Amino acid sequence: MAEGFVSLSAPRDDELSLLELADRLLYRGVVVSGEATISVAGVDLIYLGLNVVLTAVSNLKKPPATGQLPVNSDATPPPGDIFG
Amino acid sequence: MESPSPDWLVYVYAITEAPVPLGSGGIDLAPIRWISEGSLSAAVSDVPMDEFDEAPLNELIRDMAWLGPRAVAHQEVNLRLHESAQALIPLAFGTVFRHDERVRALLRNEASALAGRLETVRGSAEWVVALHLLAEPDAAAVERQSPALHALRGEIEAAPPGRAHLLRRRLAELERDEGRRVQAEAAGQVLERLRGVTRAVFAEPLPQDTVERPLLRASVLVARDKEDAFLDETERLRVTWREPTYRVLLTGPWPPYRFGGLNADG
Repeated sequence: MAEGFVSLSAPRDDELSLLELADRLLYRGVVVSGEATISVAGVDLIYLGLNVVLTAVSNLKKPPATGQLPVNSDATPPPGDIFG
Repeated sequence: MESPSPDWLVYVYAITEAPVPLGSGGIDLAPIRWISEGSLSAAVSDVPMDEFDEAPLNELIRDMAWLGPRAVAHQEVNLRLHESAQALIPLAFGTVFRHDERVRALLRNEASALAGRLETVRGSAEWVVALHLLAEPDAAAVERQSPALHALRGEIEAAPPGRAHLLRRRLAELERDEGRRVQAEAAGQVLERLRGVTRAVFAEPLPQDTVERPLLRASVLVARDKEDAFLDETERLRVTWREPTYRVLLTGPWPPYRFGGLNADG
């Protein structure tokens, strides 16, 4: 899947995964002014998801996180601004 | 053309200076449309409200099986735009508006800020450079970079037994602190070297408690005509911070998601 969106000029031994893509695309700092946009609330959970997957892949010491994922409430604009 | 019905929302991929013809579609293969206002144009497609309204979106986004193909579609639209447009503001995944008119209002009301962001990223691509710590630097390596450790060892060797015992307890503490300092300086030194070959550097917040241990994740903005110099420098970084203690990771070139979205002072 990674080959579809990485330029061939990038060195081949570098990691580029869906998680890396999600990390790039879901960063909360990128939303163009809170106004009139629906921003994705759970940005930080992608990092959590990343940790979980790395744990599964590496089969290392940390247990996968469980339970409710944190919601990054300050990334959610007030409802009145969304649809007006 | 307005978005077709109340069951659809307007998904915005990117903002640029003028429409760019795109051969294929976006999310769910929907055709890309352009909404223009003044000197700015937004690349959009229509997405179903039952998935992209705020509540379902924030649920679905946790599901990698749902997110995967849509994130790839978002990226592919931006990659094609980035190849054709000199200046592009790629938006975050999930930037959704109710009506075309709201997109026009954004382009109108934020025209000056958006134009500034387009100038920031013009002719550039974004890369991510990460420095991971794979193993603790060995004691000898730390001591070589620590005059304080070296001095304390000398003092221990010269001290009478009782005092040497006390100093050794201090030594363990100092070794730990100096090890941390050497690691922290590695990140700073990589940042400094990146500044020399990039237009802008942004140190990302680091995830906590991960299995992998990033010392640094930096987004960097690189002029397209300076990519060779940048890539040469990353090769030198790999040599300086080499395995098995460190690993330097590189991804890119990306459309400038980070720098297109940051304020000028960010």
